[in-house]
Amino acid sequence: MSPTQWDLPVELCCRPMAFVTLTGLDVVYNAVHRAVWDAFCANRRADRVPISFKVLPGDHEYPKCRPKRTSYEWYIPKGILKTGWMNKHLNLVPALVVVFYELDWDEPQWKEKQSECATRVEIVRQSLQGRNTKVAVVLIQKKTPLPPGEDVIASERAAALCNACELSGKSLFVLPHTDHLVGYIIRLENAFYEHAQTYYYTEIRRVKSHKEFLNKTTHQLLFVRHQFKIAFFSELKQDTQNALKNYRTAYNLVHELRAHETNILEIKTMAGFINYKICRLCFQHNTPLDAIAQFRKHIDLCKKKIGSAELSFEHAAWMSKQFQAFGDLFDEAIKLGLTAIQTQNPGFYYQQAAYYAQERKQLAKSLCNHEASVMYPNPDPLETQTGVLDFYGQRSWRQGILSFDLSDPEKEKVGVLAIQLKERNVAHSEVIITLLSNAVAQFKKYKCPRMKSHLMVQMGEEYYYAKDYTKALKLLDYVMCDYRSEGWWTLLTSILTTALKCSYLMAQLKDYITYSLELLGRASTLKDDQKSRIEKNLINVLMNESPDPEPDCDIFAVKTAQKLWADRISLAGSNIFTIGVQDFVPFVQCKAKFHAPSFHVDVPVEFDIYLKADCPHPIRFSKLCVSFNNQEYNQFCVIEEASKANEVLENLTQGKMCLVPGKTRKLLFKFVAKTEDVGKKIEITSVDLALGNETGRCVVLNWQGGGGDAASSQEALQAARSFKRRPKLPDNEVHWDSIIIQASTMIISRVPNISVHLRHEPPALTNEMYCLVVTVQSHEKTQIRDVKLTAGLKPGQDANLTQKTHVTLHGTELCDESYPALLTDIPVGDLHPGEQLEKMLYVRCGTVGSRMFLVYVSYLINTTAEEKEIVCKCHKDETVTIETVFPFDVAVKFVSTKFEHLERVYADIPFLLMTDLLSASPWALTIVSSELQLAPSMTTVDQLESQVDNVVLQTGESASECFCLRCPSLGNVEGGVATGHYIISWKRTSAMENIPVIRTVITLPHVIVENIPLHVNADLPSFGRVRESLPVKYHLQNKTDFVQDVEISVEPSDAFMFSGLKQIRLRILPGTEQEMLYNFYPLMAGYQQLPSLNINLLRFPNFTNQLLRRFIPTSIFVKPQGRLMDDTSIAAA
Amino acid sequence: ISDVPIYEADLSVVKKKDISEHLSQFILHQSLDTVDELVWRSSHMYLKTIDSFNNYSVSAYCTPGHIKFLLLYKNKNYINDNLRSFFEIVHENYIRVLLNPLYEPNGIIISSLFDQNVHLAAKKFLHQ
Repeated sequence: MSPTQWDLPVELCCRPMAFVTLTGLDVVYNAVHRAVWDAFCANRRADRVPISFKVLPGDHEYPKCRPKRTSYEWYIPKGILKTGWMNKHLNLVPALVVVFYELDWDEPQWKEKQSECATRVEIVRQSLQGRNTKVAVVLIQKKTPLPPGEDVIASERAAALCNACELSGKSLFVLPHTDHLVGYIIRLENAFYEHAQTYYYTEIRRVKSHKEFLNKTTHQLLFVRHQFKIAFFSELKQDTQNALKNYRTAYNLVHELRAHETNILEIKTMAGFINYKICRLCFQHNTPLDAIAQFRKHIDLCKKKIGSAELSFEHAAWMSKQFQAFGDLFDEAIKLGLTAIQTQNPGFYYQQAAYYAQERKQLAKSLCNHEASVMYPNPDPLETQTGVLDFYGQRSWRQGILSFDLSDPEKEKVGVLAIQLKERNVAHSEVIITLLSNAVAQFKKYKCPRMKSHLMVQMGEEYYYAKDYTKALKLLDYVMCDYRSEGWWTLLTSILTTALKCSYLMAQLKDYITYSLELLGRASTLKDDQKSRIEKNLINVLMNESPDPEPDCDIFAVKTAQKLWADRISLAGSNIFTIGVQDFVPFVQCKAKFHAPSFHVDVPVEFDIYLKADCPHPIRFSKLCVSFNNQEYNQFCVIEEASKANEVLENLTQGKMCLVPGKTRKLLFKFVAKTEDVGKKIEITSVDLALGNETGRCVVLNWQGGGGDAASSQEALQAARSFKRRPKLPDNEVHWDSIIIQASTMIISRVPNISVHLRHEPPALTNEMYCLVVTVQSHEKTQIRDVKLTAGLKPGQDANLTQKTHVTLHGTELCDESYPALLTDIPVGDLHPGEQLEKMLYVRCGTVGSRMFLVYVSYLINTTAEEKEIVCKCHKDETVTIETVFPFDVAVKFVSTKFEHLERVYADIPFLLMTDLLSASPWALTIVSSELQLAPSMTTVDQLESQVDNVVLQTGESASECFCLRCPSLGNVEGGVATGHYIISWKRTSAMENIPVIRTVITLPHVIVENIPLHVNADLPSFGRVRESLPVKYHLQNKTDFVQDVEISVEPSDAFMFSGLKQIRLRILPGTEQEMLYNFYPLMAGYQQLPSLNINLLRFPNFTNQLLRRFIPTSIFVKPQGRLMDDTSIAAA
Repeated sequence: ISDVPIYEADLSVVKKKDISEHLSQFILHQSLDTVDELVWRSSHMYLKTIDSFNNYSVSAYCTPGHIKFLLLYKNKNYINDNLRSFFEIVHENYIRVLLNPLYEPNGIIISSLFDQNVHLAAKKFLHQ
């Protein structure tokens, strides 16, 4: 029995194509023939007609046709389908035989050639006797033929040739051997295809015609056979719809056959074949659901047709094959463009196939467990004379026997034995693994990770059965972490158990230990007795002894394994195994916890290591060491069995090295941090726990960071969420879940014991040298050294502030841009206990706003920690926010000489500049001096003397000055004329003598200057007296380059009488001045309106009296007539 | 981490089984693939029979909080309504468990009342 017995025959699985043979071609020696043949075979793409060609010699013997049966009455069929039938019609019996013959129409020896051709045709006909195979002749010609009808000789000779060969005109073709060979060939083969279709059509008719002779009792098998043949011929004819229809009918007929133990295999085989064809065609027609439905029906119908119980593994094998074949079909359809989905993909069929393969293996194991002494029967009952069976699915020792009774029970027994013995040699695991890996590939493709995992577990187990432990471990190891991360502990335990067996059988020490560790751990669902056994084995292994074999292992494999283990023991070296625990769940749990998130450098760093064992029996460890990111600390954190240096451990008694199941063991470590590590993080990088010792075997469990394994992060999450109250434990014990890993701590500097005070008078004034007094006092018990001060603008603020802030220690000179914003590490010296020092700091702030200032004092001090002398660097810092404000506001205004507000000034006419300095400082200010720097365009009328020198201004007080200026005519200046700068020198009144004066420069506003054509000013006394003459002189200046016509009139007033020109018209030459003299005589006392002077310029209508009023007074104070004796006193006043 | 089992119960009346505990878990575990797929396609909580493995079938139910209930059974043609009713009762009881302030969400359900009610529901709808 070959392992491929269950495979479907090739001729069933291929796509049937019309079979056409070509004769008369010498493809070896004749280049023309070779070219013709190549054109037929090369590039057979989908657009060419489906024909399979074969070159045969002209005298080839085709399979003989059996004589036609005239009556079926006495005919009893021996089986359903002959094994050779499909192959015969695919590859042996052609639908059309083509005779190639080289013959041109103008052949001189036409007669001879014609008869030779006829003979060749005759020979072919002879060997096809009785068959309906068509014959066609192709004339290979050297000349290109003329268009039909033009070559008279050709048509004559063609007719003659047809006649001689007994061919119809449709079967004679001409193949000119010219450039367009491929084109001619394609036309030829299309014609051949038509002939072939006709042939298969007649074949179908022929088979159908047999039907009427059949009767239901004796010819049941023939019904199936004929139906199958019709369907197969339809397929050859490329009529897939009818083929499918006929296959379906055939399928139903197969199941109508009377089934018995003796013929059940044949029925199933045929049902399988037909089912395969149906499913294949359904996929081809793009109706995958029909295919699936058919397949389900098929399985339902055949599932129970097990047949002989002794050979039930055959049924399983057959079932497996059905699923596999369907899976293949499905997969092939997908490759051709069908889309599958997660819930319906080929993977399921492969998986099912694997399942039946497993069942086959089970059945084979129980049915084929013959003694070794049972010999394979001789002669072999499975041998047949021809080497093959006559009919599909029959038993070789009783071929063609249709009786349901076993004529020869002895022969049957021998046959069954032979099959069973053959089955024993089948590599079942290999079959199963192949199917499983097919399924895995599919599930991977359709994103079913869990299905994939499960199948991989099955593969792993199958490898285990197949004794390929390496592969088994590889697969199991791969899926283990999936189940571990999803927390399906039962499944993990099951996989681990198999993995442990594998590692035992291979004596893989490290794997064996790893799996044992996890099987003893809290993730394992094993019973305690199992755990005990594993723990005992683990301890044995650690003591360099062999472990006991795992239960249910193959006896021979155990024997081999025991030898391997013995070798391992004798082998020296490499007995330390380091196992990283972060990827699994070992039976010892570990958590590290620093007592605090930070430690001062002068106190010892303390942390606890918590250990807990989950195994059933206490276990000793030999060494525990902790590693840090700074490896220098590692030496302080080791516990060793033999170690006598136990000072670092509190309460270390004998038995501390022993872990009691379920109890949390706490180990305290402490060490002094290095002063270089101030400001750094100390991190536990790993915890190593050694089990066993170096003389035997030693396993080092390595926790990365502060402990925790594959399951602990989830547990921690659960514990954190939990509201559950934990039962009270004795004082020295803790709940495992309540311990939170803290694997790192900061080393921070020693707490400073000094005080830093700042004294100053906020706010700071812009640009002043602001004084900040720093007082440092030591409260340390011993002398402090190397005191250093860093002070200034706190870094990290706005970059502009750094540009506009300057710090210095010397207040006597003004800072400029070159001074830094922060003074660093100013050495201050040493301080004795209680001593105090003061340092003055000057800050100059160029802009207003708030600034943060930092004062940072650092020093060194000698101290002891854990009886160890260390030099600590301490520091204290103070920050202060200082607001900077303007010391004063300066307001400037222009007024006329009459103190009237001026929008603009008039060229050459004096005006007043008034400055108003309002103190905004909360502290008293001293105005040292002020200065007016005029722009070149301005001139002064009188002396520019400061009027506010050494004035002290309190908050809210103001100091004003007034300057009389004149602006010469400049013509029209856009945007006004620059006035100049006003410079104020000032300081705080409270500031010391040596503090420099600050000069604040105020840019004065521009002023608009306007030219006027006529300037009038009046000369008059400051007051008048009733009934005393009051002389008034008006000066009229022509400021233009023209002669001006001026109309002047004076309007009378009630308060005055006057003499002088009341109305006059005159001319003033350019640049000259005209004087008008009036004598006013006041009549009333008090503030009186003067008689108003009206001037009208004919050239400048814009020159109004309103403008005029600006220059000349409009009223005057008139004193009452005094008594003579009082005159002197008034004059004195 | 998704799909960690939080409650398991053996509801069978026949104590003899032809399937090991871990195989049944394997079947349930792999059926989660299908649940993951179907959950987004169905608007119902009861997802009917979602998977079958040889003679075993798996029915599933997924709560709005994506707690999945899976039922593995053999060779039984349960009426869909019965399965649905069973799952609904389990769901109701699960909500009661959730309401308990001492229950940690996604933690193992240890309530004996829940266990008892699940068994009662099984008796009523599945063991007729």
